Amino acid sequence: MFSNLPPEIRLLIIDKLEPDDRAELKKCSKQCWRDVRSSKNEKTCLGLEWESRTENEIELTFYTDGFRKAQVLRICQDLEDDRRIFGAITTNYTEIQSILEFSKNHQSINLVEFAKTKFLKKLEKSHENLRKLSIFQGAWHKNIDFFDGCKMLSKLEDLKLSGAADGKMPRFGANLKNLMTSQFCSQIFEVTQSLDIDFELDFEEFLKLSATKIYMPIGKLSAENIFEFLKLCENGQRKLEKCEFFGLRKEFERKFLELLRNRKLSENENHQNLEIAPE
Amino acid sequence: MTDAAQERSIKLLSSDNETFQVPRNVIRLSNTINTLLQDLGLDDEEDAGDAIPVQNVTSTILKKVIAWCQHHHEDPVAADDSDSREKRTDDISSWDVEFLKVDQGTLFELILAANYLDIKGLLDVSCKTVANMIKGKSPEEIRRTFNIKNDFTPEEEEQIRKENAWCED
Repeated sequence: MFSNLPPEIRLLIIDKLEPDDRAELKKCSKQCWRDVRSSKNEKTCLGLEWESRTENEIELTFYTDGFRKAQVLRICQDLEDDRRIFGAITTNYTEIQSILEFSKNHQSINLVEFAKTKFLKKLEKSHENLRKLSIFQGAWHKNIDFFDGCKMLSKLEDLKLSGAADGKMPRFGANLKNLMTSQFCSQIFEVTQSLDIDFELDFEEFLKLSATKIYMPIGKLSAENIFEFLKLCENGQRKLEKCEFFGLRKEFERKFLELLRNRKLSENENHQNLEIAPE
Repeated sequence: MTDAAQERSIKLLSSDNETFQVPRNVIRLSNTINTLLQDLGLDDEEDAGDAIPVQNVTSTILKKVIAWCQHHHEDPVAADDSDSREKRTDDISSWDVEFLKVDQGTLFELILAANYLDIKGLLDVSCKTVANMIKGKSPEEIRRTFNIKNDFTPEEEEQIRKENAWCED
């Protein structure tokens, strides 16, 4: 049925109609037009985005594969001090859960798994690459620029990386469809985990790299890291309009939501309790 | 892509586990598969290797998608790729018109597959076909064509009627 097509497809069709025909279609049903406009020109990623609109208003959006699936919340109310984002999310916990569920169901897991397996095979083949990886590992410990690190990994595996040079996000396998790109990014970080490569993300450095957008590969980040990052964003210490998380892994989602629920936990308790266990 | 890579075949696995062997130079029309093969360096591998899962596409639809790619894989790249060309819906080739004479469910599935596999030409022509099914129809006819439920309340319907009264005069 036409109205069951994803908004991005409906938009493609609608764009081929003359204004008169569009007007007739518009009169058919609300469903036909629902989400269509918001899907236009939206970025493609799997993740969570928030945007400060006014002092007390934050818009939260979940993205799924290819289009904005739901504009989750728009809040404009007095929430507790710097926890207003968390408060906003928890008040709509059920909705968040259902969207996460949708996004999980909507991914092409098998294709991603396929890519991951191939990537791992390729990596394992080359001892030389493993040697270079140890240099990469050293780079992290010296807090080398995040994007330089990504570039190194990119060169290492001949992955196509775009955007890093001009301070935008690094995209691993950038020519892959965006759906896979976001997934692939986290898969690569899983690879670094599997090879016992550790890294610490320097948040201050990380935030300097982009004035308006931050793309954070989840990889090995703990809930504590995320919490710290959220606070930095929230406190307005950086000119940060948007933030997107890539590769929301199942475990991360659970921990993150747990973190959001436990608003009253002290930071220390959070640090103790919410460390992400290796998958 | 090397000549050797062009000549090889790629295996695709549909959602219902049917495997299709497709010439590399045919499946290049799918940007998704194309970039997957390039990014993972699979173009350099000798054998066809594992089948690539195309999880969102059934064998019936995948068969049609491959047929479309086979027919169009030697098409020259369209020089005029402007908005105006994309908006035209009267430029569908007779082969495509015949190809897309399918039931609505199949047509929508083809659109979704073309979108997923990022086959621009197929997506474009199938969306044009749907657009042609809408053109010139009244809202009630469009509802009947696509089995769309009227979800307006009487008040909303009245509001829309008022908003559009000027163009119905």
